[in-house]
Amino acid sequence: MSMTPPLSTRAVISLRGVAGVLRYPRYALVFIAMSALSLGLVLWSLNIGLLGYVLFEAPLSLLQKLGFLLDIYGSIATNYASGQAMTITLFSILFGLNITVLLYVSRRGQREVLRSKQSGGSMFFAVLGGGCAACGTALIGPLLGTFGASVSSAAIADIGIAALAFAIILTLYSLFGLGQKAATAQATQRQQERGAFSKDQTHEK
Amino acid sequence: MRLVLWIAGAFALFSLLLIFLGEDNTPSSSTARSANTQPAVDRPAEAPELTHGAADARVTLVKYMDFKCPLCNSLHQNAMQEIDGAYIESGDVRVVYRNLASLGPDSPRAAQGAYCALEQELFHEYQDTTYAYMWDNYYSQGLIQEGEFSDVLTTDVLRQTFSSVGGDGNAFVSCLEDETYAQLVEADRQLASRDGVRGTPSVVAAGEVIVGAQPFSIYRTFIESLL
Repeated sequence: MSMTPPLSTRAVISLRGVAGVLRYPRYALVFIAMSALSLGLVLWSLNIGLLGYVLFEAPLSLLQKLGFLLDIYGSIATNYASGQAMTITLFSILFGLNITVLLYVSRRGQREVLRSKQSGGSMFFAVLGGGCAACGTALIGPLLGTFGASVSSAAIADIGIAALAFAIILTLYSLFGLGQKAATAQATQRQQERGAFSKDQTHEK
Repeated sequence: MRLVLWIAGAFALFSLLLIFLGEDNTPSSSTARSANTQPAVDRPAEAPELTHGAADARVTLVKYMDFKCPLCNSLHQNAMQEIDGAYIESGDVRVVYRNLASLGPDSPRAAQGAYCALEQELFHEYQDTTYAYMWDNYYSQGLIQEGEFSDVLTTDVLRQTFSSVGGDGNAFVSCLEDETYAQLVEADRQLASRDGVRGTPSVVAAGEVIVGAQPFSIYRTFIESLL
């Protein structure tokens, strides 16, 4: 009969699993790339049409177009209040971690990584929470309007913040499970390495 | 490998979803250019316009704003100043300001105040001091919610800020109380709807919309593509 360890123990195991993944330089690179990509996606979400125009229609050089793609990262300082900017950055880091650990776990044979559904869901909520919901420059307003909901600006602002918080909770939940799977995969790998080592020693004797 | 493809596919699908959602925000080129499908806007041709820059500038940016909106404040104090120095002073760009006043009962009041200030040729001074008032008293202190949703730009506050730049406060107040420009502010709102603008700040040019207070480099690249 197996007993489930307490939550705090599982959290520590999960953290160790995540840290273990980031010790590999290639996974650390994937983490940086995926975090940057998810941050870019949240920041560009309000101006996707403009991005399409500049990348595919505007008479600009390739260098200018690439620069434009990266310029959006500056909007974290101009388009968001400090609390919201920190929340979006935190979400992007967690999302990048999530995808990285997901890749690690799946490459080690644990393919039942259905928790990735939460990653997609969390990105959806993060995008909804981006922008100034009260001013109408967030996707949450038009989306509520699509469903026929009529909500005051103040309420929309609160819903936007709640969507961001929900995105972070979903990502953390997903990461919690994936981290444990990563820790299990790392432990299995260590056992296999030890087994191989003791076999070698027996052969030498 | 399959998982990487799955993730890439998910990102692509998500981007498509964003484009689909974004279409309401951003008018397609055909929508922007076909006049007969646009709703009629009750804005007389001879009505005063809030503008900055040469009338014959090669690019006209239409900026939708709300004096209560913190991002409009940020845009005014940052990127717009740089656009001014780089493109407006040289005569390449002209900015037309329109009101999309929706944050509390004082938003339309402050918007009408802009036209009242224009009567005394003090629109730019009014704009600077009103944004500065909101910044100094609310946004710089982290009072975002209070600044946005409370009735803080009262007639008295607006009169004081306007008088501080040398305007005739009494004429300004009677203009506000008569609601001389209420219909014009409403017409601005209709124009925003026609341009596919849902929120402030938004900058429109050549059928494209830049939503939010973006860094100057975003506007610079966009302007360069139009020049």
